[in-house]
Amino acid sequence: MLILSLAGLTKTFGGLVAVAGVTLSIDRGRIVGLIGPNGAGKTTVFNLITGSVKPDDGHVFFSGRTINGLKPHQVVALGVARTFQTIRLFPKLTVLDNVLSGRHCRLTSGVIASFLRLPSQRLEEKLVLKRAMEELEFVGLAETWAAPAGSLAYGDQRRLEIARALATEPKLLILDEPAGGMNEEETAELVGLVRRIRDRDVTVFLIEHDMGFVMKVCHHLFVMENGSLIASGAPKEIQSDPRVIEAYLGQDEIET
Amino acid sequence: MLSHFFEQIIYGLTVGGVYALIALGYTMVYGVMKLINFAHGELFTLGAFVGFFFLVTLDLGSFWGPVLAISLTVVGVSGITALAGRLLERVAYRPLRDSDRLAAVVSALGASIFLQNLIMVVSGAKYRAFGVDLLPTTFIQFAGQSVPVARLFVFLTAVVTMLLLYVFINNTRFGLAIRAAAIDQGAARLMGVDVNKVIAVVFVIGPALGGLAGLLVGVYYGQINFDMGQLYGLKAFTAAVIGGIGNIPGAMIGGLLLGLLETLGAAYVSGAWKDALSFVALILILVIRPTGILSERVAEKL
Repeated sequence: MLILSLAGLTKTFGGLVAVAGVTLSIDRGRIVGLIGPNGAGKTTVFNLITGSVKPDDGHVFFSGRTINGLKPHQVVALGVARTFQTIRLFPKLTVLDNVLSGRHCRLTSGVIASFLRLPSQRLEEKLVLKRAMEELEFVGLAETWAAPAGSLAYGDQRRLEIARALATEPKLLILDEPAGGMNEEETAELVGLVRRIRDRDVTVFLIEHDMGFVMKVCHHLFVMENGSLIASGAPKEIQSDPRVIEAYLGQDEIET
Repeated sequence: MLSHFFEQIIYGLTVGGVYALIALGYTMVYGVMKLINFAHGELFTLGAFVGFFFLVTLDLGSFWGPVLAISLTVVGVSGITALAGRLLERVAYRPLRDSDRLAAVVSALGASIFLQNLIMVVSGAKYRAFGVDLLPTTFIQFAGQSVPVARLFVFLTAVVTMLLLYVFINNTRFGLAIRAAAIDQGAARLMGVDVNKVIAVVFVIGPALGGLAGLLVGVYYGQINFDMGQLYGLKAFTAAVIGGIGNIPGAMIGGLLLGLLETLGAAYVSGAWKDALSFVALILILVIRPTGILSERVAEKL
């Protein structure tokens, strides 16, 4: 069953064609990677899916409906969550509050009810707290719940971003360079974490430059170069694809 | 001597409470939008005039008695100023959300001039007097001193309102959404926070508090004028900067401090230098600690 498909997705910034007619599909329950040299347009594809950037042309289908044109918070409510290439936590808020911010879209009571602290609201908040702590345990950060997010070590901040994204109850989780800045040990742990996320029936779509990580964790890979898809297949096939090798090794010639 | 000093303290806290209420509007809007809403002082004036309309023009008090009349006026004033704030955001700020910061500042100044003139055209340039004492003129004994009940009323109203706001921001989920949006709007959006709704709520609460402050000043001093919001707005802005703009407890403390500084300065230095003292304080803060007294200094991580 397809969870996400992109059809002819195109985005230009001024004269630069960042994404040129990208078409791809992702099956539910898989871990899929998007790789390619810097500037290939990978992050723009992610921004197009989450609604932060509006496409010039093409469509994004998620769970059988078109989602391009929706606002980011609406896309989140439908079940797409993401993390960022450069960490974007709320550094001054506590670890727990960061995760709770991800629960915001799943709350049913409105502004006034939240002020009046009605019984229904209290019960909801109790459940929400429990859920948030479970997400922290899931990524192994439960002990740090009271600390300001900005005080965590880099690798922990990356895992906290994942917990915050999971708190939105996504069906599709988008990770933009999750292993970026992590050491080998942390990256090895991340492999396990991503697999456990998949085991919760959350489809994972990720960008990553660490090829060892990508080859280990992904079921399927898409390769982008200069805004277009140039290859798609299982990690093994991609590794030996001449166009991919060309794209990575011949970067200098292509960029100049 | 001591009783004179005590009186100044009470007076300072009264004025300061009003400054703090107005300052909250500046600081909340700045916190979420990084914009100084220069038209905020005019929303304060609007609050005073709406209060005048309810209490004097309609003379609600003689129909329903003072308690019901005041409660109804409070609801009316906060409702109407909140609506005006919401409209202001839609008309003057939202269309400029993605443009240059300077464009929004110019728009804010324009909105301020427009609103001030609108109030003048509608209600005239004369001072308006409430005529009757709406607040009790009695005194109560406190720690061996007599304290005017009217001042206590203004101060307590300000404090209770601020406490409610503090609880809302820090202990409710929507408050958390506001805090998240204040740190990183983009990330908040991608975590499912409807940032437009956050901005709308901020532009409802801030103006309502400002309007309420206008009502308090109106009933306390007994007279209002179309440009009263200018000086109050500037003072409250100063209070917000002193406390650390964008910081909610900072606005509360900055307002109270500025009120105390002003009244003690007027009493012991010179009444004529009252305003100068406030703005000297602003300059000193900007030079010595531009982030305000309450802002924590966290080394920015790269």
